[in-house]
Amino acid sequence: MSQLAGIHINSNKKNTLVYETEIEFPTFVRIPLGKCSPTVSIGDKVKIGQVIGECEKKFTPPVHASVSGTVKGIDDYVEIASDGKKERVLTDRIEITNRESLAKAAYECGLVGLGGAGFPTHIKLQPKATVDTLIINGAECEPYIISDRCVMTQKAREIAEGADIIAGVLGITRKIIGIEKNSTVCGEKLSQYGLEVKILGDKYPKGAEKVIIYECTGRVVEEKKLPSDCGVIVLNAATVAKLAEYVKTGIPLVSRYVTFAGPLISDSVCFNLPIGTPVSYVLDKLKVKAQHILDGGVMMGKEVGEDAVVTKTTGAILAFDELTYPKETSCIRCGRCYGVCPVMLSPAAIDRAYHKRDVKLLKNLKVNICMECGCCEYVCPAKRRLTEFNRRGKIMLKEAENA
Amino acid sequence: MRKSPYILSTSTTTKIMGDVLIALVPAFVASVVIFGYRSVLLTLVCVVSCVVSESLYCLALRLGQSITDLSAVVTGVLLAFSLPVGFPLWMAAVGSVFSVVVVKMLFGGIGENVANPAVTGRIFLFLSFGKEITNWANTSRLINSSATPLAEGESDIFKLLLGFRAGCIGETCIIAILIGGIYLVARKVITFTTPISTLAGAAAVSLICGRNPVFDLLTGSLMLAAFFMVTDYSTSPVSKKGKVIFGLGVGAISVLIREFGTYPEGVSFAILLMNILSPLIDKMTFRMPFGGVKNV
Repeated sequence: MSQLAGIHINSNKKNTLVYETEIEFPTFVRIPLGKCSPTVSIGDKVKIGQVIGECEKKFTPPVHASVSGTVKGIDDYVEIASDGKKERVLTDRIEITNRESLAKAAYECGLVGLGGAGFPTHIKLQPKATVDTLIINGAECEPYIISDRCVMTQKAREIAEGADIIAGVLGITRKIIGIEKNSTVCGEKLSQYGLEVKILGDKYPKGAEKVIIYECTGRVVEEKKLPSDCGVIVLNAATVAKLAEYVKTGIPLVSRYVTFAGPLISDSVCFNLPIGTPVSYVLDKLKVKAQHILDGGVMMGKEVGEDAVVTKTTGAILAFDELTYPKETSCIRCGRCYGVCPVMLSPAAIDRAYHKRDVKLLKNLKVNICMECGCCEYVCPAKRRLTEFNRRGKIMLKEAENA
Repeated sequence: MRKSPYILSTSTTTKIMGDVLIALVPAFVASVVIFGYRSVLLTLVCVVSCVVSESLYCLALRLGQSITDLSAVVTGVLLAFSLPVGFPLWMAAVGSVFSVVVVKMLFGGIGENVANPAVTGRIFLFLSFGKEITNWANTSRLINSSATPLAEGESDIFKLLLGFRAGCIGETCIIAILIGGIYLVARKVITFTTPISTLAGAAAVSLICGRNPVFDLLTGSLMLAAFFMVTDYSTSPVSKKGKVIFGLGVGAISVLIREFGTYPEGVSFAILLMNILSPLIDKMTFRMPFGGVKNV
C-alpha cells in the first residue's frame, strides 16, 4: 500500500504535549445560530447549557448558551452578556443503550465535527451500512494548529471512553486513532487506553477524511459514497472526547479548544473558550494587533473580519501582519500540481477546462473529488489560483448537473 | 477576501528557468573551450533575438511582458547550442525570431505551445539554410576533422565524452551536459525518468539495428536533447508513464532516422514528432483520481 501524495510543509510545531492556557471568561459572547432559529428572547436570563437555538429539520443540532447571563441581542446570532456566575442547567443522567439513544445524545449535546468540517455527529452515528471500524482523527495536519493535540494530551481517557461508547453501540471491532509523526508524544497514553495508534506520514494533508481512511485501513471511499459505505466512521478526536464528557457530565458543546498562533504570536497557545467568544477579546489579551485573521489553518481556513467569534468549528485563530501574493502567470505545464494532489487529480487540466467552461471535461477530470486541500496552489510556480479554480469548477459542474 | 490557501511555496517560473540556465553553464563553458569565442557571439545573438522578439510581440499585442520568466533566454541558448560554430549570425537571429514568435507566442505563449521552440527553430533553419547548418568547418585548432563523428564513424570514447569533435556548439561535451542534467535533477526541476527513457529508447533501437549503442548515445545532439529538450514541460506529457513513452519514442525515432533516413542526425525531428503526439499520450495515460468511478 503506497502513501498518497501531498506536500512537505513547515508545521511550526514541536513534538511536545500541549496543555491549555488559562484565560478569563469574556464579558459577552455572540453565539452564531447557523441554520437554527432562536428559542430565547431579548432580556431572557440563560444558564450554561441552555438551548438557545434549534433547527426544525433536526439535521443541524441545537445551539446552547455558553455563558450564564442575559440575552442582549438576536440576529443570526444570540448575544449574551455574562453575569460571571457560570451557572449551568442541570440535566438528567444520560444513558446510551442503543443507536437511538446514541444519536439522541450526540444531537442534544449539539455535537458537530470539531475538526473543521462541522458535519452533524448524530447523522454520522446513524450509518445506513454496517461499519466495523472507527477512525479517530488526531492528525491535525495544518501548520500551527495544536488544538487536537491539547485534547489528546488532556483528554486521552475521554477519547478512549467515547470510542468505547460508539464501538459498543455500533458493533465496531476496530478502533484506530491516526496521529501525525510530529505528535507521537501523545501516542503512548492513547494506546494505554486500548486504542490502536496509527502513525501517519509527515506529509500534508494526512487528516483529510479519505486520506486517513486509506492510510489506516487501505480502503478507498468512492466518489459520491460515504465512509460508512466502506465500513468506516471517521470522527475527530475532540468530537469523540466531547461525546464522552457529555455522557459523564451532561454539559453540552459550549466550549472548545482554540489555538492562537501565526507569525504575530511567538508561542502558539491553546485556550478553552466558550463558543461565541469574540476573537478580538483574546487577541487583545495577547496584545496582538493583526491585519489579517484566519479562522482555521493556512491551507484550508478562511479569512475573517475583526468582529469574528469562536464557532463550534474554530480550531484555530491565526494572526498575520500581511498576506501578499505574487502575480498570477501562465501555466507552464510543469506537472507539480499533478504530482502533489493527494487524490490524484490533474489541477492544471481542470484550470484549463474551467476557463473554457468545458463542463464535460470537468466531469471527466473528476473535479468533484477535490477536497480543496490547497496542495496544488501551494506548489504552483506560476502562482495560479488552482484550488480556487477547482472550487469554482465543482460549482460549475454541480450547476450543470442540476440544470 | 482571498480564499485559501494563504501560504504558497517560493517556487516561481523564473526560478525554474534560472535553474535551467545555470544547468547550461557547463556546456556553455565547454563550447567556448572547444569552439572558441564565436560560440559566445552565437549564443548572445540567439538570446538577444529571442528576448527582443518576445518583448516586441507582447508590446505589439498589448500583452503583459513575459520576458522576465526567462523562458526566452532558455530558448535562445538551446537554439544556439544546436548550431555549428560558423553559422551566420543573421541566420541565427532569423531562427530565434521564428522560434519565439511563430512556435511559441502565436500559440499563446509559454505553456501553450505544441512544439519545442528551440527544436522547431533549428528544423526551420535546417530546411532553410541546409548548407550552412551542416558546415562543420570550425574556428578551433583543437579539432582536426571537419566531419561529425556521425557522418564519419569516428569512435574514440574519451574524445566523445570531452566533446572534442565537430558538431553543434552545445551538444559535444557529454560530461558538461551530464553535470547540468544532474544539477536539474538535484534541484527537482526534472526527474531522471525522461532522459533515461530517451537514452534507453535510443540504445535499444541501436542494438536491434546492429549499431554501436555507446556511440549512438554519445554523438549528435541526443544527450543535450535528453536532458534539456525532451524534458521541456510544455511539450511533453505530465505523467510519469507518459514521460517514459515520450522519452522512449524520441530515443527510438532518433536512431531510426540515423539508420534509415537521408540525414545523419534525427533528434530534432524525433522530438517534434513526439511533441505532436504528446497530448495524445497525455490522454492515453490519464490517471483515474482517487476513488473515481468511470463515467457511464
